[in-house]
Amino acid sequence: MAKILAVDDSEPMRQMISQTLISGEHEVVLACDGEEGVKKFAEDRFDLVITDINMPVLDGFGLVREIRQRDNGVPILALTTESEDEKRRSGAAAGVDGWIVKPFKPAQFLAIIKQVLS
Amino acid sequence: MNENNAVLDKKIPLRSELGQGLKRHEGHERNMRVHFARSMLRNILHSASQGLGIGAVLTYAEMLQMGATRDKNRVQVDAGIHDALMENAAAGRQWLAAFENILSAFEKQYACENIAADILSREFAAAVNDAEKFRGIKNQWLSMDPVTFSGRVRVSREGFREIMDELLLNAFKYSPPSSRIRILCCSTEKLVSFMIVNEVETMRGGVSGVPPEYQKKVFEPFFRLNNTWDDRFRDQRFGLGIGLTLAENVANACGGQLYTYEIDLPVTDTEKSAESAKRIVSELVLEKAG
Repeated sequence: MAKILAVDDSEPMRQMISQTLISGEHEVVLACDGEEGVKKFAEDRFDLVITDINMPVLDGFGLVREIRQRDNGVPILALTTESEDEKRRSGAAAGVDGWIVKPFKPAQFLAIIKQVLS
Repeated sequence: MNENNAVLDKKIPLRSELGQGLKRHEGHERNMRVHFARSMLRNILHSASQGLGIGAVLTYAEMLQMGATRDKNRVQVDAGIHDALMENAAAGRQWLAAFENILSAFEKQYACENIAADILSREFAAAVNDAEKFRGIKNQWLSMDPVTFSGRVRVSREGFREIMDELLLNAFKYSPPSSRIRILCCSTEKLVSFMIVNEVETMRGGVSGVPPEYQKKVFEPFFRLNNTWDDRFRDQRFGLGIGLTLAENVANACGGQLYTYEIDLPVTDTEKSAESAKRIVSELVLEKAG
């Protein structure tokens, strides 16, 4: 079981991510945008961060850069509708370790998390 | 014969230039079509994949299967996942209905007439009333100046209401919670202008407001400044980055013009940051009749 910070501005999406992660017996903390994500990351220790990219207030790239300034080791996965190579490259440059395109397949999603955590 | 050849010779470079110009024009048109198709497909893909709707239906269907247990011909599923699946199926239907709305809006004809201020004032009030469900989402407040002008303007009543519906929706979507949205009306001898003025919701990492380089682009079909999607506004009629295009079509059909731009207001004591002085103005300009 891992403690995972999941950041997405869509409430139904947060609910779906949470249900999937709980079904994989993980503990989930949710945040609704990059700024809240930074705050929650600073308050606790996480084994993994999963973040959306297009978000109001502070986007996913901004969140990843902020996290990388504090912690270079925690794995970060982007979970986004963006599938273009340019975005993926920007993500990798910011410090994203893996890229999952929505709509995700729950079994595959959990398998990727297992792989990243191992 | 020789003289004719000489004339023809002179024309050849001209033909060649024309040919080049035509090729450039065709190339530009082809690029525009490709750009349009890409934007449309990208928006459909984004909208289908995020938040409530088609994409979530797929994910929940797979989650349902993961947790399902079979007993002979019956399958037992998690009630919570089942309910979420059905909620998303309903949102997916709504999303498909938006396509129907877009198609019928493109085909719609608007009958322009000469309308006095009191009638337009009522249409404006009706648009504000239509938009109330969206206003409540972020608890913004509206202040509306009286719609007064001499004479009559040339516009379709239905079209005017639809344009205002769209401008108000955008103001609610892209301004901060609890902020003020102003509706102004002013006129000259020949023109009447209706303005909706809202504060800018700042985004770190995305595009905030409507910077000058995007003032024309926001009217392009399927163009979006940011790929953020707010599920709370899913009851909107169109979505997909097409609303302003349709609103501009209606305005132009009545001889009017639609603009969206940023202005800087003097900062008051209560507004400390530079961003708080910025406002987005969406303006419909109509001609007075006769």
